[in-house]
Amino acid sequence: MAMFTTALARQSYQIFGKGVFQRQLQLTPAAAKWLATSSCAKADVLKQGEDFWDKNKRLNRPMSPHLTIYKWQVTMIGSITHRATGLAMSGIMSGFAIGMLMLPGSFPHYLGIIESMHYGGACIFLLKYALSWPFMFHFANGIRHLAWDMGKGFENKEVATTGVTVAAIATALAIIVSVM
Amino acid sequence: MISTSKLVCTTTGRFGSIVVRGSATATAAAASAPRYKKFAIYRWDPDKKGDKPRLQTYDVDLNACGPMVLDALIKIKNEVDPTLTFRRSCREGICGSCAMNIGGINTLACISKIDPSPSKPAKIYPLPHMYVIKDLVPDMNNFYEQYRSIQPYLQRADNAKPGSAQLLQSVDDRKKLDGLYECILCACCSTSCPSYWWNGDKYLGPAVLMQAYRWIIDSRDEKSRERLDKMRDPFSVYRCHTIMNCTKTCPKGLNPGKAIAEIKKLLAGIATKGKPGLEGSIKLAGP
Repeated sequence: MAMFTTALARQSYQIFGKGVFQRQLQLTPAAAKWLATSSCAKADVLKQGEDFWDKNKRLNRPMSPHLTIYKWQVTMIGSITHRATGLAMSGIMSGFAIGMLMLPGSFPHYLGIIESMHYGGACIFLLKYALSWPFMFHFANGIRHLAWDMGKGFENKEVATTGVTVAAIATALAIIVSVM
Repeated sequence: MISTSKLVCTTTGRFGSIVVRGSATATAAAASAPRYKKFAIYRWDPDKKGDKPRLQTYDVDLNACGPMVLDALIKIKNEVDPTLTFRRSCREGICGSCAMNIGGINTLACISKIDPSPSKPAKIYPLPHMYVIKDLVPDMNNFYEQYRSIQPYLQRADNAKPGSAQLLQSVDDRKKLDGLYECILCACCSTSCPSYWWNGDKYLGPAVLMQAYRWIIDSRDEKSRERLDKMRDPFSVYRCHTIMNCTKTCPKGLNPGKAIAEIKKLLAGIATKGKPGLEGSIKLAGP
C-alpha cells in the first residue's frame, strides 16, 4: 500500500508538478508498474509527447455544450448586443462610404430621390430608429465600459441595473432622434 | 403515518392540538403522494464505441429526496442508475467538485436547491465547453495547468526558506485579500465565460486571473512586477471583454470580473500596488 501511494504521488508529481504541456511523461519504475496494472489509468494518461489537446482528440471526447445551453442573462445579452451594434455600424459606415465613392451621383441626389418617393412618416421613423438605436446603445454602453475600465460598477446588482438602464437610455434617445 | 407523527412533533406548541389536527391531515395526504420531478441529465460513455452525447431523463420523488440537486444525483446513482457518473465530495460547497451546469447556469450541485415545479425538467449538463471524460465529468487539466502557470504561492526577492520567518502584514493589507482567497477553483466562472470558451488555450479565464490578482496584490509578495509582465500579451488577460457571466455565476459570491479589472488597471498603470503597510518579519525559532 505504501508503495502504491508513493507511486501515485510520484505520478501526480510528474503530471501536475511539471505541467502537462510540451513535456514528455517520465515515470519512475514503480509508477510505470502501477500504470501497467491499473485499468483506469490507461486511457487517461498522456502518451509520449502528447499534450492536453492531442490527448482529448485521440480519446474522441465530446466538447460539452456551451452557447446553446447557457442561460441568456443581462450580462451576455448586453455584451453580444454591444458587439453586434459595433459590427453593424462599422459595416453600414464603410458600406455607405464606399457606396458613395462608387455611385455616379452625390448624396443629396439620392436623398432627393428618397424624399420624392414620399414614404409615410412611420416608415421614415422606423428607418431612422433602425439606424440610430445601434449608435445610441453602443454609445451608452461604451460609457458603461469606461466605468468598468476605472474599476467601477462590478457588483452583480450594478451590472444588471446599468445593463437595463443603458438599453432604456438608448431606446429613449433613439426615439427622440427619430422623431426629429 | 410517519409523516403525520413528524408533523405533530414539530408543531406541538402553545396552540398545538387544535391547529395541528386540520393541517396535519391535509399535508399528510399530500406528503404520502409522491412528488415526481424530471431530471434530464447529459450522458456520454467513453467505453461505448461511437456513443453520442444525449440527455437521459430520470424521475425522482422529491418527497424521498434531499433538497439539493446533488441529493437527487446521488439518489439516482444509488437507486436507479449506478452508471451515472459525476464528481462530488464535501456536499457543502467548499470542495468545488460538483461544479456543473444546472438550469443553464454553472453552479455547485450540492448548494443548488431543486426547483420543485413538476412542469419543467431540471436540465443538468457538465461545465460548458470542456472535454467530457464521462457524463458530468470534464477534463480539468488545462484549467489546473493555467493555475500552475500563475505561480500561486508567495515569492520573496531574497528567496528565504519558506517557513523560516513570519512575514508581517498590516490589517488593511490583509483586507485586500478578502473576496479573493476564498475561491475554491470549481471553474464555474471560467467555464461560464464565452471568451474562455473560444480562447481557453491562451486566455487564462476568470478563476485563474482572480488568483493571479490575489498574489499580485499581496503586500508580502515581492514579485508583482514579474507577475504582471508575464501577462502583457493580447490573450492572457485582454480576452476579457467584461461580459460578467463570471461574477454572475460564482457560487461563492466572489467577483472575478472586478479582480480582472484591477489587473487591467495595474497593467495600464492607472493604479499601482502601493507600499506595504507593514514591512519586515519575525524570525521563528526552529521546531
